[in-house]
Amino acid sequence: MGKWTRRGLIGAGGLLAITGVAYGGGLLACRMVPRHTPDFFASLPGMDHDALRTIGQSVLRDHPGLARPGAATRLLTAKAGIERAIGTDCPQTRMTMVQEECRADFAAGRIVLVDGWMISETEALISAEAATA
Amino acid sequence: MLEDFRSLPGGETFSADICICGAGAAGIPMALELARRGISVILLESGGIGLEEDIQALYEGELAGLENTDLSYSRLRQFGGTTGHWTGQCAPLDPLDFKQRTAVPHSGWPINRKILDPFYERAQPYLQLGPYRYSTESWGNELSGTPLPLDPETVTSAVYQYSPPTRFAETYQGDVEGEENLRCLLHANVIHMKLASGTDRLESLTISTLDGKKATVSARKFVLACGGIENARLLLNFNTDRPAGLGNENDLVGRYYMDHLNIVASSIVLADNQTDLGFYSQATTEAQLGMALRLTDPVIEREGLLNNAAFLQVVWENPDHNDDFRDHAWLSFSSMAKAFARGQVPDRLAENACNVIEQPGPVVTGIYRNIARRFTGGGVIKAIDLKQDAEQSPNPDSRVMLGEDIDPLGMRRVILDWQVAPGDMDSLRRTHMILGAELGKAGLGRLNLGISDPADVTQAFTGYHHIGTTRMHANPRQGVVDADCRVHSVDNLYVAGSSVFTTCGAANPTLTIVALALRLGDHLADTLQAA
Repeated sequence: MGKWTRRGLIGAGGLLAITGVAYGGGLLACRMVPRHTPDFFASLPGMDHDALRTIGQSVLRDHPGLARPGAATRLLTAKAGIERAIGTDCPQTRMTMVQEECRADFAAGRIVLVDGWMISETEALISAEAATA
Repeated sequence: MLEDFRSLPGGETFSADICICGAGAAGIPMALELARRGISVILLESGGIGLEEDIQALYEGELAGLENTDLSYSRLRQFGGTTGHWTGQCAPLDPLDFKQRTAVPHSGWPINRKILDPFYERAQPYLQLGPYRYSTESWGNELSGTPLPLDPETVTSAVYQYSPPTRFAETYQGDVEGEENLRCLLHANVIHMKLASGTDRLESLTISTLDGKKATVSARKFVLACGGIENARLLLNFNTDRPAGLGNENDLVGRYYMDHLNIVASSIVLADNQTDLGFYSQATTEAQLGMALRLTDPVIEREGLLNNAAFLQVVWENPDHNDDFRDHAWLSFSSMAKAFARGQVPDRLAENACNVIEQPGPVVTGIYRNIARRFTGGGVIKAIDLKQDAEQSPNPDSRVMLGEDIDPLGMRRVILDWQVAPGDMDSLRRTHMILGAELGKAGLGRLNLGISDPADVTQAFTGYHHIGTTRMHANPRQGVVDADCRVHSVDNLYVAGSSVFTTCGAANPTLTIVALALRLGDHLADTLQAA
């Protein structure tokens, strides 16, 4: 095994820095790239839409007012974090923003009980929207 | 020394400074410590060295309240008492448990945790535990893994230690035999307590074998250490000198019966199903530790909740990782295998072997899964169930009473009317809701509430912890014993064991039982020697 030389260390550090900057830049650039995502909720990565609709039906059973056309969407878009998420094209960023909104709901006690599950108000509205779509 | 009363002549009078009834977790350490201070002690035990069915049957009785409990299997009437089958989970009561809490009627001990701390520390070695450290901070760098990143203002980690578990019969038989000042009589059932005429002073008690051989025991001070149900049953039965029973002038003996609400309910689905939960069950060089999720004291007080410590019971995606095979048969098999591996003959070999022979299924499953785990590597977490021994609030209507049936010793059998208030379940539900909100706030996962609304008290099963029937209180109208564990209305009669607990907290009771027994032993020795 050869010794670490100063040149080697600087090179490795530089490589790491370039990689980090490139990844961060890529994430930023990703926000600028328009994508064909007509349904906001369809663009959340990793989402199981059948499960979402099933949860949504339970939410609608307990909160029938949300079944009115646009009701869930209006409540969702009234949330600042969700409005920002809608204005973002990058699915990963969107997901992060939605997750932050969910965490804020829990912190503020905006919690909905659905078949025993404690979910955030945002999750309840998203699933209700999915069930009515 | 250890003797069998059946082999001694009847009609004798045994005398000592102190007489302790019951050779279990409280009686044995207290007797040993008193004897080592030069005080003569008679230790009475109803049973023998091992389980005897006719003796054990003296525990039979009737259930009148919640039926998710039992009277004769949950405790052992033999030398060593119920330590013959306890699981070894230990923690001290929390400082909060001793306080008078506005949301918990009848709460408030006349002593606090600081008073008990030195005795907890002395109790640790009796239970073969590690150092007296029950906070994550006190273990510091010795801990491995990290707790779930929950808001420390709201959720903390309750620390438990695990005893091997210490079987007092095997561990302390030699000490009892070798102690000159201690005379332990087996098969000696207390059937009568006699007050000196016209006084509040206990003069003597009568002991009997099952076949009727009798003798008298006189002492300067007496201690009842027969367990949370039996202490009350005996006091209620001794009604010759006091019509309502000894110490029962205010109709308190037997009341405020509590058990821990043993409930596996509510489950968590983690956002990361491969989260490392090693922190919650780990071994250091000094102790085997278990951690549970507990709300912080300010949250418990602000919300007006009962105490609870929720252990994380992982449900693995691959059933090979699950431990649901761990029943009595598996525990018997496991203890035998460990003993053989050490080159020793297992304790209670016949009992353990029969447990395995009668239920081989869980043992086969356990062996298969333990082998399979070596090949399948780390598992994927499907869910985490919350397992707890939740605190029950003190309730005067939850009680031990006497029935009309008479046992072979001529004493009335027990009726247990265990009452769980719906509010106790509501408290647990609210506790889980706060945990669920914190998990969501931290982005760790979601919780499915398993406590029904309205409350269904049949969700609660016994924790096999019999607590509160001779509760400690400074006021004789609110408690049977005072802060020194002395029966308020009898000058020289004391009670040891979980029956003196004013509230039950969430911690398993054995460590507190031993600590209180050591404290009582000191008090008895100090007062005798001062006199």
